[in-house]
Amino acid sequence: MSWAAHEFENYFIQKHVGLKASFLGIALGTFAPDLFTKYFVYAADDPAKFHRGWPGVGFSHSLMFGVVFAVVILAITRSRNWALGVLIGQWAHVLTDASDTAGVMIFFPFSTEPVTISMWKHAAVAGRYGDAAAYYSSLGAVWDFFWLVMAVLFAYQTFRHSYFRDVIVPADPRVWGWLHRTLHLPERALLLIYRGLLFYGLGRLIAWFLYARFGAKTPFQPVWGGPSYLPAGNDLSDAGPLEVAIRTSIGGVLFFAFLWLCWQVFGRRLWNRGYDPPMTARGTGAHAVFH
Amino acid sequence: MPDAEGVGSDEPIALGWYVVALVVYVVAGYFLKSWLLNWIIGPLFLLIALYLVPTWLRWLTTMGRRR
Repeated sequence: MSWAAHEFENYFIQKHVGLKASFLGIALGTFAPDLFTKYFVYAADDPAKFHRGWPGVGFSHSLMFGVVFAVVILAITRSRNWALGVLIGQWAHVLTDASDTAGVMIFFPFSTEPVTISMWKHAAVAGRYGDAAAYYSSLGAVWDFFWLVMAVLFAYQTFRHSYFRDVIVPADPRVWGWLHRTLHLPERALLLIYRGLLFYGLGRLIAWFLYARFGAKTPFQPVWGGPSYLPAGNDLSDAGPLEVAIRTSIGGVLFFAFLWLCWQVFGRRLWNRGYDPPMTARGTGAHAVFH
Repeated sequence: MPDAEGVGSDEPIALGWYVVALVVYVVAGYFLKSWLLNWIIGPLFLLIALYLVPTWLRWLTTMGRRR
């Protein structure tokens, strides 16, 4: 699993989707795979299998879960920006989590074969603190830092107040407006909520890294498949690379065929029934919400 | 109070306050992991530290003066 990378990715994605997706939707999408499951993962007999496998809650780390979640959001709220945000955020989480040894069933239910590049060990078996120490002793720490650098270098515009006013709020005026009116939060308080994820990502990256070095005192081993002080054995599949590739390819073809079928049967109608926030077309910025 | 605007900037809160909040969060988070390094308090910490707490302190000060 990845930790702070999920927070930094939000801003990187936001830079590329602009007004087309809600930032809060993207954030919810990136939280979604672990939102209702992570608490139980650490208590499971086999945390890796429960978290990423089947039977278990591994379906939450599949592309299909994001599609279902986005369709439900679109059907209930009719907001294309929220549906798109949730979909992109959830897919980003899934693809990112393919980096640890447990992998993700990316094309579930058409393939239950975990796909992984095994950059670092899935260490939930060590409990939450042990998991954090292991992650920040492995290439996971480097991965988080990589996404921080990516966000700072290529998405620094998204941190600005003017970006919040001109893009973030106009892309989702209903929710930001609701927070403004109902909770009586002024614009600067909403800006703090928007920047909160970046802050949280940076804060927990530093705090957990320090904990790994000075609290848990685990050795920093940023090598492929590390950290080596943890025993191996949380790879969920016995299949070889070729078998994984074939099964995943078949699953992928079936998945996209299923998506196409759903689009033809009801997806297009649902999408057309949805709406884009009027401010994204008019370009009136945040003024319509805050004044 | 963290509402000092940077001169010539459209930033409502000066960068220094973010740094102060980050240092406080990291130090406190190191010792109070389960309380602070979670998905609820973590993303809301900036709001709490730089808006809710100062607003509450201002309100207390105002009430104190009235008495």
